[in-house]
Amino acid sequence: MGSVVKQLTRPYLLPQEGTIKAGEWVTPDGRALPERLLDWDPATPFEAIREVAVDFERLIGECQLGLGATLAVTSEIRSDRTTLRVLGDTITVTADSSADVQSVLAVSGSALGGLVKLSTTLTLVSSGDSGPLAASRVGSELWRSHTFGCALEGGAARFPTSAVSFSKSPLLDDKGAWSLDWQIQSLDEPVLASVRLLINTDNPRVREAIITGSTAPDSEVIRSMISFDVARTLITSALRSDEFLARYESFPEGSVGRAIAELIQTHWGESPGSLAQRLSIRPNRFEAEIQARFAPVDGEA
Amino acid sequence: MSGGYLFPKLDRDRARARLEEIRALCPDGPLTQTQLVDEIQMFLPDYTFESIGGQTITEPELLKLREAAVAVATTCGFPNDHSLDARNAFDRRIGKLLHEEMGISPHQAADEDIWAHLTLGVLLDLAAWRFPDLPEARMLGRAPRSTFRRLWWRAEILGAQSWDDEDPLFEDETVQIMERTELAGVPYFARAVASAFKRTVAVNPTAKRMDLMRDALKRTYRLTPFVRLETLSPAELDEQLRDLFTESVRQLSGGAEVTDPLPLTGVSSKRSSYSLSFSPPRPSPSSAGKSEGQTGTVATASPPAADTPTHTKNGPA
Repeated sequence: MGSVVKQLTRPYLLPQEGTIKAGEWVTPDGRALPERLLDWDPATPFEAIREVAVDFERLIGECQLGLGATLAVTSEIRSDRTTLRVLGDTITVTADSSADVQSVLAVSGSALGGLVKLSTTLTLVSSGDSGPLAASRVGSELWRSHTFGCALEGGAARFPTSAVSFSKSPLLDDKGAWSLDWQIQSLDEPVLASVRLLINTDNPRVREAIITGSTAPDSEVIRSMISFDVARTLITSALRSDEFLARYESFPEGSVGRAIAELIQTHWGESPGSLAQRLSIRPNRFEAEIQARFAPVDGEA
Repeated sequence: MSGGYLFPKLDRDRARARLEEIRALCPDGPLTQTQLVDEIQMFLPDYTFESIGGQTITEPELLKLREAAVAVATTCGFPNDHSLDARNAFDRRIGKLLHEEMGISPHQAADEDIWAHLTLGVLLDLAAWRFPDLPEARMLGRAPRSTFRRLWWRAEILGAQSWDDEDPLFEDETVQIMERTELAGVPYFARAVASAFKRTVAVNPTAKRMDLMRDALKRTYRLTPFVRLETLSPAELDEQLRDLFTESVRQLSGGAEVTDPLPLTGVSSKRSSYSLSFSPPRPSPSSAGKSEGQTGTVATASPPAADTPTHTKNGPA
């Protein structure tokens, strides 16, 4: 999720840190779920398991819930390719149940693709004889785990890229090296569906740098330049967009708007509004700020 | 047509070039039906297939799909009737047809290139009838406005709610649901909203439908940061949504008497058709923690064999 999303204030008490502990995601054979599944295929089911330990007594004390409260542990997997969210089994937790539950995600691979994000929540089913500050509405979220990201299809989490012969395209200049294909109006759309880097296959140096993944210094400079150019294009366009500045905290997970907001948060750690002001007043200086953060030219001797 | 087909793809750049060629045939106005039919191709030059498992569709199969689509479009008034009713009926019926007949999974349906190929090749004349100005957003495959892509996804997410001719959701109402990814990302949730909306309208016929949908969805969205409605059982979710819609009617009517919609009956207990039965190999430490039947199960069945179709269509919520 990234720290760009504000911590929401909830109208009820939440458990303290450590009251609920989630283990790492593991595959059915007990290995840690990797951040990248290189041999994944949509015909392959996605299966992952995690242990969740709920200190029930401590939790009902911290949240002013009754002893007869019932809670639910549910895991979710969200795909940025299909934009589907698939929920796993809901496991109920009561005073009588075990403190440790096993949350399972077993999902048809055909519903997934790209980058998937896994998370687990603890929600209220019933509050029992609760206090005035306790959650009371069924479904109230009491706890949410950190999100774990896993790239399916190997390279699917890379920036969406297409190799194109610019000379065969009436819309692209033959001599161009690359072109970022996107529109500022697509801030709500998934990154994989709306942004694409077009690489000119007629340009042998660019082709070698991007398509063959050459490790030659020349290729690394080209890749660095492209990364910088992509970041600059996305960030400056977004900072000139009233819609982005108004909604940068609320774009959906996996969307272009969210990705740009996270990029800004990661590299600047300040609000887009103040960046937009600097871009507007001193565009040249802001350009240097982008260069400093995305380093198109390595300053090391 | 059975499932597991791979459809031809046309990348965005080639699709744009193809669209320009088509537009150039008649720069001053809409193309004639004859011109459009001349441009129809089952496989466009430079098409590709995705390199995943599945059976590549053949030309006769694409032709069969086209014939079925044209037959459906004809029932809606294609090619001469350009009325709103005709276009809405087309959207509902063609969405159902494509969803049932293409046999593709959400994974494939998320690929803009197959929609670009379908729109600019196989079903060009239908797309041009629906959107005579041939706007890029409709003719290419990018979400969310692509002509056929959006209809397939409506059918996938809303199921029968998307093609109900007797009690249809209007275009704006459908868009209100589909454009909210937190809602449309969980078909079970989206269908429950559509169902609660329709039942509320049925018992409050003077309510302004669009205002009601907008207001109720705002109320729903205000809850989503701290209430996980999609984790609720069908009965709990329906109760919550009926309360939200009823409150909306009350507010929009200035406090007038409101009739509560009837609870949903006969709902499926299955929350997602994407979930598979799966038995973890290790003994569960949560033997006292109960797995709720309403949300799928930590079942004892073995995982499906590798060649088992992994995508099944959702039943109505």
